[in-house]
Amino acid sequence: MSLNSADIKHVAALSKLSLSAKELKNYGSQLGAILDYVGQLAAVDTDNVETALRLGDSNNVWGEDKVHEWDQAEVKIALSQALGEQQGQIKVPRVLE
Amino acid sequence: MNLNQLTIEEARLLLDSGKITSLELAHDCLKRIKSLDKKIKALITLGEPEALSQARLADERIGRGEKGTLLGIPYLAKDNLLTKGIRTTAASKMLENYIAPYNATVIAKLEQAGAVLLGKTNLDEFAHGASTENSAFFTTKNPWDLKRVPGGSSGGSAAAVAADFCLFALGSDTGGSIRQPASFCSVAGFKPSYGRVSRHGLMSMTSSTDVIGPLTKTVADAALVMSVIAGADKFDSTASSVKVEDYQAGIKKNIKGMKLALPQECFGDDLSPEVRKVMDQAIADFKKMGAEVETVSLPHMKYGIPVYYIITPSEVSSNLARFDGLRYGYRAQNKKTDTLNDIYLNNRGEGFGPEAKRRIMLGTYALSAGYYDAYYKKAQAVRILITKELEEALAKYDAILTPTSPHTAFKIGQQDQDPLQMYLEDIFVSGPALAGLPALSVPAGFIEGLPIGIQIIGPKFQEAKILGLGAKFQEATSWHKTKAKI
Repeated sequence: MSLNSADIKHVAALSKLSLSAKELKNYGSQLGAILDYVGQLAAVDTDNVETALRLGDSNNVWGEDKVHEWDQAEVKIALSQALGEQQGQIKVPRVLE
Repeated sequence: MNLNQLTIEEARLLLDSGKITSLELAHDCLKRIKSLDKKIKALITLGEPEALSQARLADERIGRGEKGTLLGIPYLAKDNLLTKGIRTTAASKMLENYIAPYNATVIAKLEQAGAVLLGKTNLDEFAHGASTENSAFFTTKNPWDLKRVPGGSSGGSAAAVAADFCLFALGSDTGGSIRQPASFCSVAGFKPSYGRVSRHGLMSMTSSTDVIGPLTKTVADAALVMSVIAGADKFDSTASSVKVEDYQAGIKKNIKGMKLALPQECFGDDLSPEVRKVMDQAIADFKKMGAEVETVSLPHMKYGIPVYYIITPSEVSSNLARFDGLRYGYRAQNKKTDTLNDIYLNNRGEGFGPEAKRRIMLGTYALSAGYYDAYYKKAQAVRILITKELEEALAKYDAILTPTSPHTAFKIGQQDQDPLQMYLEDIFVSGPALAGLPALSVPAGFIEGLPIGIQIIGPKFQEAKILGLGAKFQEATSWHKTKAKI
């Protein structure tokens, strides 16, 4: 199975990835080969498997909804990573259209 | 002997008796890194000033009479573990200059224990791969043959331990990423049970299988590192509160009478005669020590890879959605960005490498409308069958033995254009990862001068037993004592 050009464009759009024409072609055939390979799972009988079953023994862990002060030195490092900063706030490109 | 060649156990004795200092130990490791990493390329970042100041601090603590398992011991960490103030890149262009504001829990625990962080090691981008060839920066070389890969994704950590750059290294294992490079580089690589070690501060790849673990020169050293990094954590609700075992006592236990299972599916006709010979010898060694070995059948094990390559991309597509280059990370320059969607498309299209993109798309596809039931839901169902099968076998047997990898290290560039071929690397290591079981790779021999490991898989949260089997194997064999000539 090879994903056709429309399929792979659709997946790339859902994935929020801009891809070149060459990439679209390459990934189309590579993903097709991988999907063919994983398709062997269709042969496994899973009729009686309860997929809602959670793996392991973990339970919900509850924590109090409490505000913790953040260490100022750490705040400084975090802000230093921002691509834009103004008055101690992260400045981002315009997102409202 | 240069101090960087020591095991943790050996260094501990010398540090505690005052024969060496942590600073001397760190100096020898740094010297080794500076003279050889040009060839090996195991490190992305060297943190020399930080390491020297941590070593001085450790010496002060030792001087005050403080005792500690890893106090003053130099180590390296895979570059997907957050280190406060030291760059953490995930080997991705997306985070090339990223500096974390806090330490991962394992890094914080090691700092508290007085271990000395020397730097950060190379990996496949975001830990996607089995060779380090997917690193956005460079490929790490295997110390046993510089034309070959060290394995991956923790390839930088495995190569660094094999080349004596450090006394131990941390890696992460999602579907074999500690064990396979350990096999390729002839070091011990231990993947703890899922939830045994906190994932807080490990960059999320596949949140349902990601685990942090040690790569060490001996299995006994792996037990020492585990004793410091294992345990519950308020920052990771999946870090288990099951009591941490006494690993030091565990590795001393006699293995006489222990029952070991050999899955016939892992020792079939497609296993190369050379690998089989190494495995037969290792199995004979276990028998000599009094272990009972029986063949079993695990018919669902062969579905480990197809399940893994649905579950993993699905979780990857979700976990990597956070990287959009809006607030931090990679931002595309000189591109037409009229809309918010354009910004996302360009930043992500340029910032991620090919394998990350492949996995994001594969996961997005498997989770998308119309395909969810056929792929994701089906894979989860088969995952439960694989898990039950392994758990049932481990209710009857103390451990399961398999080769870690179907072959020794392959040549750089040999299979990097064929993603499916690369996925098949995980054939023996993906099952225990999907089931959340502890598994260890121990050096078991050489084929034409290249190392190969044996994998020991155990029941959940019984790491002491698995480490014990590995430690006893190393008392009976000397494969781990042979060093790569670089």
